Amino acid sequence: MVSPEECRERFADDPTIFDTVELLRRIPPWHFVWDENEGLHRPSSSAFEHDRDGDPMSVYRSDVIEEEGDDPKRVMKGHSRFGLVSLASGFVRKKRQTVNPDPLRRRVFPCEGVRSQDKGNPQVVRTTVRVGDPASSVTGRGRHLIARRRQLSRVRLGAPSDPPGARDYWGSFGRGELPDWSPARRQGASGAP
Amino acid sequence: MEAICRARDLAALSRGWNSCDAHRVSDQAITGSIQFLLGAALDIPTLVAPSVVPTVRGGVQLEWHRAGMDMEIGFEAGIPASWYAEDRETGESREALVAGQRDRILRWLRRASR
Repeated sequence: MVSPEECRERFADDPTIFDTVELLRRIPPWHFVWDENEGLHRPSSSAFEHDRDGDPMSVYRSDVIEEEGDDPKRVMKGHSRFGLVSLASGFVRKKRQTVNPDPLRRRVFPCEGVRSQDKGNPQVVRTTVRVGDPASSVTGRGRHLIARRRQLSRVRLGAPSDPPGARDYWGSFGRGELPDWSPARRQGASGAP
Repeated sequence: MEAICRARDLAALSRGWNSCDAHRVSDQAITGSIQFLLGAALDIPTLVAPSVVPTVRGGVQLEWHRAGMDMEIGFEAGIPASWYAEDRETGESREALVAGQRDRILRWLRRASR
């Protein structure tokens, strides 16, 4: 694991990516958890951790996707049970992360990353302009959820077209609406362990 | 039992389950989480089942978000288990390795299981 200083040096913030730019992160179905406090399903903090190789978590830039004439929904192609989280660049900077473009991977990898340091340390957001193949549609499941974490205490989720700051909280999936999160079971989240 | 089954089921996830390059969930992480749950259930008969989620590095994270509490306990192969808890009302929070913290963790779990 790199130090916060090294991380900031290696993945320096790019101020040309404006605070209003929406960063999109796919959320796998296994990362939705039931939050009794909020009364809804939302992404686990695990959905926003470093990649397995220690690089920052990756996200898509909605502005680049749109500049290329595409729809942000394309990132959901082939991921029918995945959710989509939208974070404003300004929001992640407020959480002591940097937004770092990843040009070398833009034409190679369909996903990229934002990587966070350990709790309380600076985080880095790596972005790419790479967009997946033309997508069918967003499943909708992950479009109105919340994430809560040490640094990412609240992640704004919503449709990519929502103006930044329009909502920093979202709305709602009731218990039972996301039951199929487990690879082999279809059960709710409560009960005896 | 449900949470234990969910932890066990994570073993079925193949590498790349997050659409990128996530590790398979390790047996060590699954075993660690199950052992923790079994031990906690003995001490807290009313223990509420957690959400059980995989991590990209092949770990397992147990999560409770109820009774005004947020609590996470992470298990990964080759890395000491760690935990995090926060009381939403008071803002009180704790974050530490699991080792040597059993009593403290159980106190938080009791609060989360009310």
